[in-house]
Amino acid sequence: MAPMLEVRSVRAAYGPVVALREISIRVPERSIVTLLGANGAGKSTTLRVISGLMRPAAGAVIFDGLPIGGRPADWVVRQRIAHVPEGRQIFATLTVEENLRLGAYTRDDRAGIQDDMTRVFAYFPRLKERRRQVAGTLSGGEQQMLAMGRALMTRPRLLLLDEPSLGLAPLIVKDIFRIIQAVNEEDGVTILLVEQDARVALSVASYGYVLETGRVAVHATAAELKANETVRRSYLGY
Amino acid sequence: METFFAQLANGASTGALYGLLALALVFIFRATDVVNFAQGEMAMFSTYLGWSISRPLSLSWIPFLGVDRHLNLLTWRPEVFGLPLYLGSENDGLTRLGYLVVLVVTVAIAFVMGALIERLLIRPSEGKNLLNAVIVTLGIFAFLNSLANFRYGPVPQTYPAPFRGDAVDFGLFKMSQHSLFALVVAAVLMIAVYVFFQRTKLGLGVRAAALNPSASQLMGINTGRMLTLGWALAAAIGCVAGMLIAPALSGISPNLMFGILLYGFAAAVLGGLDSALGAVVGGIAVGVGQSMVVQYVGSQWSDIIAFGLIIAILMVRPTGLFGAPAVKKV
Ligand SMILES: Nc1ncnc2c1ncn2[C@@H]1O[C@H](COP(=O)(O)OP(=O)(O)OP(=O)(O)O)[C@@H](O)[C@H]1O
Ligand SMILES: [Mg+2]
Repeated sequence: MAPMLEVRSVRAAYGPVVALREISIRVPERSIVTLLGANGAGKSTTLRVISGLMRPAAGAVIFDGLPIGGRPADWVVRQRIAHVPEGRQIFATLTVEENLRLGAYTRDDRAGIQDDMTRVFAYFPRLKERRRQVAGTLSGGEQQMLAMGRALMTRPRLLLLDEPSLGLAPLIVKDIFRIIQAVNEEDGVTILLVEQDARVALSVASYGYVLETGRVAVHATAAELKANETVRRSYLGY
Repeated sequence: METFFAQLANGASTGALYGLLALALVFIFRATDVVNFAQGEMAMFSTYLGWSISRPLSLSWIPFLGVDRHLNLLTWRPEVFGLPLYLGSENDGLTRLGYLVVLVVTVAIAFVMGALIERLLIRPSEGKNLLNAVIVTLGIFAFLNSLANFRYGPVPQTYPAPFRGDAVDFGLFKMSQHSLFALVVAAVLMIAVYVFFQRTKLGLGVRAAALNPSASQLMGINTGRMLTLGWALAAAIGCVAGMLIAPALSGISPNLMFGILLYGFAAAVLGGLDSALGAVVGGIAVGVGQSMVVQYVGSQWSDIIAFGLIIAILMVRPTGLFGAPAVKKV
């Protein structure tokens, strides 16, 4: 069966800096797939190419049989691909509620939006308490929740998450990953997860890709990656 | 005492117009981080366009109509089954309906002009260096000023106003009908702008696009379109300000907005260049301050004080009264 998302031999560069040399990835529907690798390996760039923030120099991105590579981000999100970018990128001077409403920008179904708002508040009760608060005053963990909540408001079929654990206390990381799993299992959202923390990522993912300087170095099921001592030591650092 | 209140009222009315211009500056600054030095000239030029279409328009090019046919929007008196569709007296040469038509058409032209300026001139200079875009606005300033001088000449022309009758007596003071009209229009426009930004989805989209373009694209917002819309709205607001200012002064001339832009800047800087509320409050404060200075200190001081105010605020409190403190983006 064809995967929901297929990244085929994608190349991408920032001006003269080549970030992706050749990346091929397959993400089956309803799975959680993780992208691992050292700093600068090209994980974030891969997500940026998928969500349309960046144009690939070569190769193709296929979502549900539809070529989406090179299309602008505001079009891609309408195909129900949501991207929680590196550094969260919330709208700092807007309120929590305005941030969430922006997540629903592409939608007109009032009732559905209200339902999703309720669902997001159920996942992240803290956001509900702080709905009128200016987002820039939230703690790091709360900002991560807001970034995820905002992405969920687009009602995605595929969710791209870039380092959701970055800079968060272990307890909050656990919380966030519990919600990632719930979103995947209960709402049927497919997830492509970029993580520094390979151990946490492999605990929720079913399949993993390890990137190295713009190439896929290794890919295998999460169980195989965890079991392989060499891979763990040379790429995952634990 | 009566003079004091009259100055207060007139100052508030002029100040509201400064506030409109400041609002236009804030719009563009928030959307693009560019201080639009051409804001005044864009307003001046579109105000001239309004003047052009309020002139009798020769229709002699239409065959079979006769050589001396003219269409004059200002004195247009349409009737339906003998019932007049216009307001205003027969003998002042101006109907309010005619004025309204001129106003709407001119503002629409200004809106398109703002959009085109953003698309054709600002967008190509964007993304490289902020200074480039600012210099482009200076170029537009010089270009529009020369064009107006070339096309309309330097002599001021009287400008149509819909309310020219006796001053309205409020007991404590009197206020000219035009000042009152300007105040009301400015207030309505400010409320409309507030509602647009705070209560509509599109307004929220414009704010988001200004705050964080790439995150906005991820939300499905076409950020380029939001920038164009920001410039178009700013141009439209500036145009309304120009059309209300011209009759209050000695009419329209290519240098109409020189002084006004200075006070608009003073208002924007006082309120905080990124605050819409600040622009309005700053505008009224500057307008009232100016009319007090003119009345009690001497008119030659008013420009000096406005310039001094800009410099002093930028030194003491660069964010203005309502501006957000310069926080690093998260
Ligand atoms: N805006 C940019 N301009 C120029 N080069 C960039 C830019 N962003 C990333 N790069 C380069 O592209 C390469 C891949 O970067 P990318 O951000 O995709 O890595 P990453 O795997 O996400 O790293 P990290 O784990 O540190 O987030 C790096 O060599 C980086 O220096
Ligand atoms: Mg990264």
